Amino acid sequence: MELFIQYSLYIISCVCIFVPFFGFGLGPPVIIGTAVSVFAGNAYALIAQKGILKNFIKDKKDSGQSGGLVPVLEEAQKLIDGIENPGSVMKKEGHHGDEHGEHHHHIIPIPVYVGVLLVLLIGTVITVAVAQVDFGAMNTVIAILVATIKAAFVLAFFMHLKYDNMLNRVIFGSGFFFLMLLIAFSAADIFTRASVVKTF
Amino acid sequence: MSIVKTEDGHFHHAHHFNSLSHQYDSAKQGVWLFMVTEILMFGGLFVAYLIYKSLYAPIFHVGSSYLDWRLGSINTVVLITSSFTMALGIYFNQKNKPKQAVIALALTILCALAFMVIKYFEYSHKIHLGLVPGKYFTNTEFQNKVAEYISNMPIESLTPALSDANLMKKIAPLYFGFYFVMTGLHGLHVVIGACLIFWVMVKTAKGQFGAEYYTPVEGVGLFWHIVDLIWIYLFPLLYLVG
Repeated sequence: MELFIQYSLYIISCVCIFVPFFGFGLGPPVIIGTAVSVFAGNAYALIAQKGILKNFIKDKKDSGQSGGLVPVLEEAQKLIDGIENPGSVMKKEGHHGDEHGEHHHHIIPIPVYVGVLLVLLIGTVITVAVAQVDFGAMNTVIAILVATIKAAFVLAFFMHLKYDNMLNRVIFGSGFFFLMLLIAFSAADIFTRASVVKTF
Repeated sequence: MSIVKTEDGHFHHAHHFNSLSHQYDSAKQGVWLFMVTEILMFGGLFVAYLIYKSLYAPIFHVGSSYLDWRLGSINTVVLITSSFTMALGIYFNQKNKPKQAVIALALTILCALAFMVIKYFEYSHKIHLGLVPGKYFTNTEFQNKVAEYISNMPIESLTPALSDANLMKKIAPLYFGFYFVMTGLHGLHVVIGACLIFWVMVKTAKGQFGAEYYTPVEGVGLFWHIVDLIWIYLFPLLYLVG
């Protein structure tokens, strides 16, 4: 349920970004619609599906005021146990267990690195060559596009992200996500409030 | 780090980790978090650049013509090559070949030095021309060129700010503010990265790394690739797009 709420918040924030572009005809109905449906869904899940409300009232009746907190405390205790004995969790993954911690890292062979190097060099040549021709505003777009392709190769192979665990990818992706948010909100602000030079 | 190499050539992980792999993953995750803060730090500068470029495009157009794209391209190739040798440095450590690893890391440091030498020539040329932002900006030719560029623009694409000649003269050094701050911060990263690579190179030469344990090399490598990554974006934005 928490996931559902978070995704709806993402939808709302995405719609918010585009409000300045599409005007107020589209934004508010979507935002209000999403919010109302999430509240309705949440209430349904709480009361009918999980019976949380029923249990909460029952707990209250059983043990006075603090009754509602008991399941929460139990959950917290479970979490603390998990942190104190990470071994039990680690072993379950069946990753390693050897005393010397045998590494099973994917070693990328040298030809792949050479290939990536060539791709990066070709990308540089393309960037420089395209800049000599005047495409107007497209010059910036092409430059950023080629740079992003090059960056993707560096991240995937040089930084081993292609063979890394999911968590590191998510961590780095979140950095770019928040950078995108910053760019999107700044662009929405600057293109609607100030007079911008249209011809780059 | 508390990694201990025993006499039989094995490594022992710190007591609060489950295994060497566990320790490696945790350390690497920390480096990735640090990389995110790096991306966000430079990201703020990139967003500022994009905002001011969309407001005062002529300044950026004339400004980038003052940079030598040939030197910029050479620096790009140098940095990409250094990223490649850094990856090889990690590869040879993974393969238990310290000798080749030291050579690869030394080449990386050489590339970093070459980058900084080229940067030095670029900077001293700019300072010589009086293109330093702030009260030291003495290059009136640049301001005149911006004014000329704006006068050649079609009248319908002019904004109120661009039509204000005094304002444009005053804020013309803005481009070099961006140039010096962005490449300066990046250059600082190159210097720090070179020092870190030297540190792992010495440790590799001393035989403190191997296929079992090479976490610092991997961490420094990630840092170095991020430095490369930022330059991949900096180069076209500052040198080519105008």
